[in-house]
Amino acid sequence: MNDSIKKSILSAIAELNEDWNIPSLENPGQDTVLLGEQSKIDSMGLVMLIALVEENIKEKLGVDLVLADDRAFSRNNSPFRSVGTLEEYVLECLHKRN
Amino acid sequence: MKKKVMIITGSSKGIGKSLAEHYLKKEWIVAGCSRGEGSINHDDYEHFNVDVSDEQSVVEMVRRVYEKFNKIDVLLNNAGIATMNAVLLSSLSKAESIMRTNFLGAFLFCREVGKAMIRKKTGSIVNFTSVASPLNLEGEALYASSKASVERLTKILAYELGSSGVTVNAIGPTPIDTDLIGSVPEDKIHAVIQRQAVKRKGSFDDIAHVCDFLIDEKSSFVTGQVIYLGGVCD
Repeated sequence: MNDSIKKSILSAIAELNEDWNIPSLENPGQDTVLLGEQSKIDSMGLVMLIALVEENIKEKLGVDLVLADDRAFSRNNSPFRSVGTLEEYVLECLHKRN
Repeated sequence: MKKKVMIITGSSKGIGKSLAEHYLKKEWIVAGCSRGEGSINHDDYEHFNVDVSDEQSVVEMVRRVYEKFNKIDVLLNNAGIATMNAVLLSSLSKAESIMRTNFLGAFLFCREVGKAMIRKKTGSIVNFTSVASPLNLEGEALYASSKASVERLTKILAYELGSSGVTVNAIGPTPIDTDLIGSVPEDKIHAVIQRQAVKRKGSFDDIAHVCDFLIDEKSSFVTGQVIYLGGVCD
């Protein structure tokens, strides 16, 4: 499952970066920043990324997830701040559904 | 995939059903929903049994449609319920019910379909409001408030999606002969009509005409607008 989640996130970044052309997103890793002062992704870009990750999760794991929910926004540290934290958050959401 | 794909909420009767049939005649693929069975038999129509205020049901419907057709061109957010009562005699449960269906339902469909549309960088969302909102009709505080919320949602979402090629507008029909106004006394309907610039009931064709205009590809510069029928002004 972890591998599917990672692929869902990385393929979403790769697809969107075809339009964005952000050098730091060409080879994303766990520490790649998605949200915050160091991020090069604007707010609409983040929305598109989350939507695409949801779509990829549905395709790979057959689960309809809504990632941008109350749990995500009520935290002091956003789960969308990096590839690694997003990966952890998706896994958490999947566990909560089961 | 040459045919365009549309989602219409509240498509089992009234304006929603008429709009579904209208666009099926124009060779659109229509996915409709209601709380119950559908009433349209057509090869290009698929019905979903969905309570529009149920988040998971809405998510599943929208993603199924997007998966099947790889796009959603238009969302007509028509589902709605009405109530007439003085504020001081209105129950909390009725207020919650109206807001859940009319506002939260529209919000959930806007959110989920919006995600699909920004992926394709194109799309039109048309929400349904009512002249009850600008006319501040006595006895319709809950209904009008829910529609005022839909109008604000429309205008702000238009800004949020403006750079993504997605338009968001709203239509505000006058009273027309549907189940929605079936329980409203005739003198109340007459009083509303007297406040319109054009003093007659609306027709389905009046609504379809505005809808056709708003979802036309040539209307890509028209967004964040609320169009009331009958000459009612905010």
